[in-house]
Amino acid sequence: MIDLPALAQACGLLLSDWRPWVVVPPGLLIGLVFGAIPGLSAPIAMAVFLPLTMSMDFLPAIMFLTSVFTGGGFGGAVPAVLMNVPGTSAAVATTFDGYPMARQGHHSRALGLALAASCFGAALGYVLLLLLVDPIAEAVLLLGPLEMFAIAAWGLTLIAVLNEGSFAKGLLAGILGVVIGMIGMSARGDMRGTLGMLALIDGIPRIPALIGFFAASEMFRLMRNDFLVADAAHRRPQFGAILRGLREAFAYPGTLLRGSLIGVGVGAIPGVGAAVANLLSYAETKRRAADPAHYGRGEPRGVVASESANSSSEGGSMATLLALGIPGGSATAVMLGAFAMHNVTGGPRFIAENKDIVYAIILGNLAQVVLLLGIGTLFLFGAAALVRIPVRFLVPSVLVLALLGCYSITGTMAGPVTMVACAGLGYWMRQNGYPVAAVVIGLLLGPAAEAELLRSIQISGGDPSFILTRPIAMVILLLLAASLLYPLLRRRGTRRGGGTARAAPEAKPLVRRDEARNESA
Amino acid sequence: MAAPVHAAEAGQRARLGRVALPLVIAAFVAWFTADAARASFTLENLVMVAPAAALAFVTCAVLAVRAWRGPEPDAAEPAPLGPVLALLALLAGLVLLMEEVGFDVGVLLFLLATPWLLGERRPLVLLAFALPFTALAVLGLQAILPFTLTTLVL
Repeated sequence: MIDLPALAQACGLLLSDWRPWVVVPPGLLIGLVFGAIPGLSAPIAMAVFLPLTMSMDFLPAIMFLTSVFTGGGFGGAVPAVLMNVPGTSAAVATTFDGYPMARQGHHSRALGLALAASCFGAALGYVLLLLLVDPIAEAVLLLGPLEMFAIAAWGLTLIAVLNEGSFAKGLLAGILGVVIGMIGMSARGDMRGTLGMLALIDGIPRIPALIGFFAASEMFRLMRNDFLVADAAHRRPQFGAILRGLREAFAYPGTLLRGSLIGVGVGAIPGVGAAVANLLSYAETKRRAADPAHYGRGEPRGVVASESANSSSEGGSMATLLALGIPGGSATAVMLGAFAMHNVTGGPRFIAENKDIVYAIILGNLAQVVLLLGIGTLFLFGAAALVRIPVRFLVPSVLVLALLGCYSITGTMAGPVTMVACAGLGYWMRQNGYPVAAVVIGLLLGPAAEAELLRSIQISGGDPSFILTRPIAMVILLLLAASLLYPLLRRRGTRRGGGTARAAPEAKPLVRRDEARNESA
Repeated sequence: MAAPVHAAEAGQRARLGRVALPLVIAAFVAWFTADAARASFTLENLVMVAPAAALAFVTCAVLAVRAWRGPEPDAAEPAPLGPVLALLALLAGLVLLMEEVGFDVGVLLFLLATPWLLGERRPLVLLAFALPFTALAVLGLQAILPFTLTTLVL
């Protein structure tokens, strides 16, 4: 699987030259900062700094961009935990438990958990990439629209897992997201719900909508408090708690491993990537949990599941970039731009002729993950101080940064307008017990599911037996059915055994009281 | 007697809000479905729209009836609407004015008004917060964006 002489040459390339290493720490820091500012993200940072790489050799240029990618991949967790702002769609599931942990005063621990899970996930992703770069690329080529539809449908089932109170509210919120996501020109070229506005042809801007639903609506709720964390004693950034979080992540090896493997697999699929990986991993972890009622209320495994998956998907997306020359998302698309600037074209021929460089890139990424652990820990210590800022200054700061970030994404006022509209709707929904996360999941995955389903219908001519000719799709759909049925069967088994199923509902009032304490302070 | 009357009014308002939300969602879904059907009444165009709409209408009906019957355990306590609407109005005002008066002036006014709304009354503290933050945010954005921002001063 590994070409050992090429691996030795790659080590030689990395160790004989200091230039690829000099660019890594600033790259990581740039990625962390851009990832941590709501509205900005790693792809934006990579695009901004892309011209800088023109003066670099190919290897340092790619090392610089991948370090921004790695830093930004984790940086998104910082606002997700501290402010309920998933700066990118890859960090949506991190908010589910990260933010409740922060509200309970465990922000330092949650950030430590996220960093360790990110580093582990990214490292595992790159190790698998090193071992399996060729087979991963071949497997990706076997996936057609039906398989992509099955994966998107799997992500959509998270809607059923998310709601804590009313199933009907979760379902309606998810459908609302799907319908909002279908506004614009369909895959078939039909204009739907655009009101004749040119700005809506590409649909509702996804990231501004996501920021509005999650972050801005949360700011409206937060404005009644004085501080993010009610207890003054818990507001101090705690270096010890960050380190405890780093260690604690490894207490959940199953969650880490499952999240990382989901991340690599899903990340390798172009156009899907980290946005779906974190949701799938969270959904599977919650479905398999003995105590699913704890999720969404500050469960550390929720943070680990999300962060390990979104970071390991980096390895997967690099696999398709290197082996096929296909960018899996916007970050790898920028990297493809850097490839083009250096007259390099990714693909099977590039791998065959330059295996030493491919291995050097992967090994360099592995080293970046180790460096991220150190730089990220120091960065978190500074970032955790955010909870000390009084809410009367935090709320306007976050809203302004989010608004400017939305403007920078769309380049027009469509971004800020979407954010404000979704903020108002999100607040109204939250006040009435509707999970806004389900809206966002519907918004992100609904249009993708529709487009892939449409392509499948066109390819098959509408013949349902087409599915019998697609074994991978059948396997994915069977796995989906099994993952949906497994918790039901286990619950029935537990009830027959007269067991612990009753423990779960009791968790709710306990946390409610905790939340009430925060609210009242 | 004023407090119980006030609480009853707030409860009634919250109840109306709970009923109104699924009805508003149903109206939006109905409008979207009609618009999509008008664009093209084909299986390909409605393959996802039609099932989503059917499911939405059933769910909306269930939720509206349930909300009308009584309070729900997962709904938040009715909160005072005034400050929330005021903040939403400030945010909407910023969005409407940003391109007219310039991003710098718009952001500065928002950063002065919002902490004031949330309880900060010391003018020097307001200025010490709003001025550097505006400069940093607007100049930072100008530096990284490939297009120009409309500004009045910066």
